[in-house]
Amino acid sequence: MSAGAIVPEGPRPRHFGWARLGIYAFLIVAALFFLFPLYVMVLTSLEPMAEIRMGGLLAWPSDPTVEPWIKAWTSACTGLRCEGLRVGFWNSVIITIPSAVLAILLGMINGYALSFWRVPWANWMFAILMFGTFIPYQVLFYPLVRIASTLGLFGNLGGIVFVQVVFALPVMTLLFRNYYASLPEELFKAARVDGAGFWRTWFSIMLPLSGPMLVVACILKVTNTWNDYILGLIFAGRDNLPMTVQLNNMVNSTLGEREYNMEMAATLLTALVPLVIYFVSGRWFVRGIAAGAVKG
Amino acid sequence: MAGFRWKTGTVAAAIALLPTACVVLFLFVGGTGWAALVSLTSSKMLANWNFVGFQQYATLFSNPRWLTSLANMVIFGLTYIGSTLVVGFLLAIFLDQRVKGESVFRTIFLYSYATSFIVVGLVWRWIFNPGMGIQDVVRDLGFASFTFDWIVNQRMAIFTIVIAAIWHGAGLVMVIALAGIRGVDAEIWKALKVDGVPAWRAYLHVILPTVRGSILTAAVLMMIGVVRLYDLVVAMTNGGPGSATEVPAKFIVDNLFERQNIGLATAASTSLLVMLLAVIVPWLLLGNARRRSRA
Amino acid sequence: MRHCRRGGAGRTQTRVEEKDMKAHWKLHAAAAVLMAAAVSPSIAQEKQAEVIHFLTSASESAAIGEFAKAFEERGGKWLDSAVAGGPAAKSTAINRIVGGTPPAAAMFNLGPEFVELAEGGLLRNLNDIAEANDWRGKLPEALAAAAQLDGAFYVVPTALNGQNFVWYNKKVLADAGIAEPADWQGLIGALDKLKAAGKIPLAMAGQKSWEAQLFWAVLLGDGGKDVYLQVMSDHKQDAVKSADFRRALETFVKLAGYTDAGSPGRNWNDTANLVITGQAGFMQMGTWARGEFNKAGQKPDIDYGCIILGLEKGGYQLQGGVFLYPKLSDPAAADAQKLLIETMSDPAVQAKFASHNGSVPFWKGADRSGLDACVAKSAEWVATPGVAVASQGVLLSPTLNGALNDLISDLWNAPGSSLDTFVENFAAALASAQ
Repeated sequence: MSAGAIVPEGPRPRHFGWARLGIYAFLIVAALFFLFPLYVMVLTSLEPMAEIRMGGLLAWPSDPTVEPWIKAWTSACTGLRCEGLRVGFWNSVIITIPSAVLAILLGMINGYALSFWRVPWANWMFAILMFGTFIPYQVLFYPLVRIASTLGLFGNLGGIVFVQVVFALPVMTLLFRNYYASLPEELFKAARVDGAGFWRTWFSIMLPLSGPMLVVACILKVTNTWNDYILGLIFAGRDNLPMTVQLNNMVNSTLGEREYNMEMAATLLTALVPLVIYFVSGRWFVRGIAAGAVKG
Repeated sequence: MAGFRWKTGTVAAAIALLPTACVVLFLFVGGTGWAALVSLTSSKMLANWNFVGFQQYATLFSNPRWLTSLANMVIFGLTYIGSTLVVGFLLAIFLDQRVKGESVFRTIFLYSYATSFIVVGLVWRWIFNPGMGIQDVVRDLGFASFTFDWIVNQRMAIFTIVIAAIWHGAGLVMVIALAGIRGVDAEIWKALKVDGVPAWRAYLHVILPTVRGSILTAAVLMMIGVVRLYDLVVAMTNGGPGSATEVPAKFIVDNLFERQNIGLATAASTSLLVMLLAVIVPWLLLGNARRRSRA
Repeated sequence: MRHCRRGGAGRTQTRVEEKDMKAHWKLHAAAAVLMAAAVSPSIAQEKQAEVIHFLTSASESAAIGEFAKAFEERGGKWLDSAVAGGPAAKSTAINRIVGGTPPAAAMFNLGPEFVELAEGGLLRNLNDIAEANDWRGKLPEALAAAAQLDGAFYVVPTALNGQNFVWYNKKVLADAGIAEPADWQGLIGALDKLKAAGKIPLAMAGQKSWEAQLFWAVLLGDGGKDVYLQVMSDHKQDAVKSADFRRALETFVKLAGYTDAGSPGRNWNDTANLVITGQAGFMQMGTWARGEFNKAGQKPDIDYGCIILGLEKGGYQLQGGVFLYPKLSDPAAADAQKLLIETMSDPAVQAKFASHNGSVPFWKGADRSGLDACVAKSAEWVATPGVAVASQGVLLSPTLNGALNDLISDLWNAPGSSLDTFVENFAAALASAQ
């Protein structure tokens, strides 16, 4: 990567003209739309159940309380245990990190191999991979259960990571294949002329360029794995159940009472980790960060 | 993309692709094959091997709920993909204007993707409910004849799901678009500036074509989401009112688990796959032919 | 008083009171040590049993806690695998059984769900325990029949719910000058008065299973027990085309006119809330609705009433939860499983279970004191021969039940549609299920 990303030059817009106003207006209106459900959720999570029963979706709580939040985290019932969400937090973490790393790595290598190298059966494999992902994955549960238990990967951490990676392969491969295909070929040719092989070319040229798409892939994969519950339920085994299983147990009781305020708090708590990642990923969206590398 | 014939590298590439190839072979090909086989049997809760030919398919296509599901998938797919592409790219373009607080805006637009549908679907259901949601709020403000009861209306209910889906997915499309736009060569920007091209024209005629790859990626991701649409429907309307918002994935999962009819469920998923193949393969071949004729 | 549970690494403990817990625990530990020293090494390992179930709300958790407590008092170790949502829990159990790591027990619903597993030889035959504890003698007829396949017991019924109750807000009815209706035609009259008074006459949870539930309640209470059983058990085509069926059908369709605009898709809890807060008069829901009324602090017969319409003509529709026990290959695990089965089928333990989630204690000779008005009524009806009738969940296969749900829901949501077409499709669905 060259020293310092290149940003477009030219005079900074000095005056706050109509164009700028229009841009901000659009963004703010859009932000209101996106924030609306969050507003409802936060409000509901701070109201006692008696107030929720009275109705009033947007009314400011007259008797706000953080008890639902504490309850969601520490003492909500999720079956026999009544210990809230925190039980599964670390499980979610140790499932998400290896799954994300492995899936993204494999996706990158696949995308790279598919974009620049002529392996005879590769395109067929990619086509089948893409079609395979259109099937609702619940249909593949039974074959997958058999495969996983044959490999000794059923009901343990290895099992859930394996399954997460397998189901993420199509999308990860797609992301990186399209991305690498859009990169200029001169780079690649230059590396080959220099005598670099498959791995060297990837490591020294393609990997550094993958920045922006890496962030997108990260956002996608971490969110999907973090929020997944059915795969964790079936393949992770009792000791590794992710936090979403507790969330689901709190929310989906068929014949039991519903405590909406606690459910809202629980959902917001679960969404915190991906949110932090989104916020932190900012520095990767600087304009021209990939383009800069081309020059160097 | 011209082809290289350097053997060693190709072998390394083949080896690198091997794990995925195994997965494809055993799970996707094997699993889909298994499902197709089961669809030819009379399996209920567990797979049995009592073959009954295409009976499940006959039952399937005379089932009005399945036909409604297919129609809904098409309606939902077209409106959702179209709208989200537009919204997502607009957001990305506007965010690209070096606005203050870009990180805050980006997180706001993206956080919807982080929340799980289990509860968010319920919130949207409340928002759309005529008795307690938007209709109720606006009426309380004084507009007594304001009506917004799409979610209880058989014809319009599917569009409430579209709205919730746009809310959920636009952020991701925005991020993909932003990554693409920000990856555009700085030289191009300079050239546009030098030539004095106005911003909107720059985006429409130069930048967007350059990020066609991003558009394609986003579109495919959304198509996958459309075919696999399940959690949102269950959380918002559970297929209702009646069967107005039934979708294929829900039909399949319901028959797989709750109704203990895996013969019908696998028939549904296999026929869904065949229909997709029938639509996508000709389009791909057409694309290939055009590319070859151009080269 | 809610029971709270705190768990250490993997171990689940029940505690009743802060002080007792420590003494309790120490007693357990001492007993365990003594027992371990006294018995041979192979049984010294605690009897572990994993249980998959879908009881996850606060009161349900307290209920399952009674089983866990009793099991641990008898020397077992309860490994809890709760999964909210019946279909999710059941499919988890099935996947585990099929994948080779079956749980010791799994919760299903009363009805034919277990049959395929039993026929496939995947379930433990419970006849030895059944004989020893005289289940045939102590269980009500309908339940005993539903728990057996070819004369052998495969499931233990644990919870019994009445499905066709109608709940109403006493104050709303009193203000409108309405007396408690005795049958479905009487209900229609009451609904008219409520509509005039400006209240929501019938609060409806507009989801498929509840719409179907209402249909079956009307068929039973307005059409009569005969036509109901002919349709449900015998799948008789002419029962569907009979005048009784038609009359019940027309009553059902008429009810659709008394619901409010917000009913499609609404959860049953929110629907109960409308009755609780006095915005609506009536609601048709099963006995589990009691939980919401209780949570809101309302008392039966004072704030709300619970009745069955057309009880003499029809009956009390029962449905329930059961536990089934997969075959385990490891003899030690099978031993633990036996202890679990005996614990869970003990009427005393079951009574404690039922006391938390408002289900009806059904073992003959069970203690009925201390039940609130609605549950006591239910218990009496269950015990009276000829009154209890099995519900659609018990009598129909899940596939047929689902197909009929689709038909009924479509009719409910498009009230102008042809009743003749409905009857035809209904009969066809029954026929093809043979």
